[in-house]
Amino acid sequence: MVPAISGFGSFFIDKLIEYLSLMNKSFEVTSEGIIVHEKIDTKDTKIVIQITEKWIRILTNLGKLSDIPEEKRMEFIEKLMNANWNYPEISFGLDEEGNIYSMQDEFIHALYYDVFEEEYNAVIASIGIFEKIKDEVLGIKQANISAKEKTEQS
Amino acid sequence: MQKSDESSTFIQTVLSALREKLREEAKEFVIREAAMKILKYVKLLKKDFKIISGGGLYIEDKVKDMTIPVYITFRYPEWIEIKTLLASGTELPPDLANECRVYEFLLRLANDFAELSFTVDSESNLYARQNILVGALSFDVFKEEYDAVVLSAVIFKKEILPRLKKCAKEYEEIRDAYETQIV
Repeated sequence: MVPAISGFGSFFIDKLIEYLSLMNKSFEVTSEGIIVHEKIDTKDTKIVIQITEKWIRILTNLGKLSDIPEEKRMEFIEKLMNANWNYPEISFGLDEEGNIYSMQDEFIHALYYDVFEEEYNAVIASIGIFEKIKDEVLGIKQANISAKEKTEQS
Repeated sequence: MQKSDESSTFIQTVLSALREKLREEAKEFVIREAAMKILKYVKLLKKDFKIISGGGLYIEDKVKDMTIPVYITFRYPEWIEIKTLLASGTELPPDLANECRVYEFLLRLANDFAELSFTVDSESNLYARQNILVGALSFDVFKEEYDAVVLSAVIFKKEILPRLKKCAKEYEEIRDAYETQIV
């Protein structure tokens, strides 16, 4: 049930609800914003859409920087910065508590379906890119390959 | 090969070539439209620009006493890129950037302020950059993304560069002292 919000904000909430419905998304309107429930690689993921006076921010929390071993953090951060270059519209950020986010900002006056869809999909795409970077830095992929090879040899 | 098979193959080849040609023409049409729009927008914003080889525009944006060099180019087939170089890889090598926690700070800024976006290419050149999907290009989107790039550069020059210079100096002093001790 959508709460009654009056004024300027509700105009944009209505627009976003319409766009998310067109995109067949499952979502709820809460006090922290619109929460969209996504399933990415069988994993439940929350995409948050926040509305401020001038901006609409689409974001997802990807995890904590402290989950990365200290000796690998700089390499990890460098790769996040590289990803911003290698993939159009991919943008990672870090808050003061060390949470890593993928986010896209949209000026409210430039909000229309095509822009929203493109930015929403960029946030979704960034989840896979983030996991790939994490695996690379932590050497998980290499470890998995080595383990597989070992099993095959035996 | 039978006659009917031959004609079917021939027709398919001709149609396939035609489709490819139409696809290329459609792409060209879309890019041409986008280029015309960009030209219109920079004129609306009263920016002096130069056309650069390889297909793009170069603008020297003035903000108070600062000059921000902005490049608007196409990242074919579907993206428009607005960017400015903040520091080259030789000015800000990754070891210095890591030592001074520049990348971490920039990721914090990207989180705290809407539309600030910093990025590093494979040669460690640091940019402020925004992308626009060709299909989503409109004046309001263009202006918002353009302004974000300029604002990122202003913040970098005013707030980050002085701290970086201080940190780099300290870093070099520590490194020099350490090297002397080893000798």
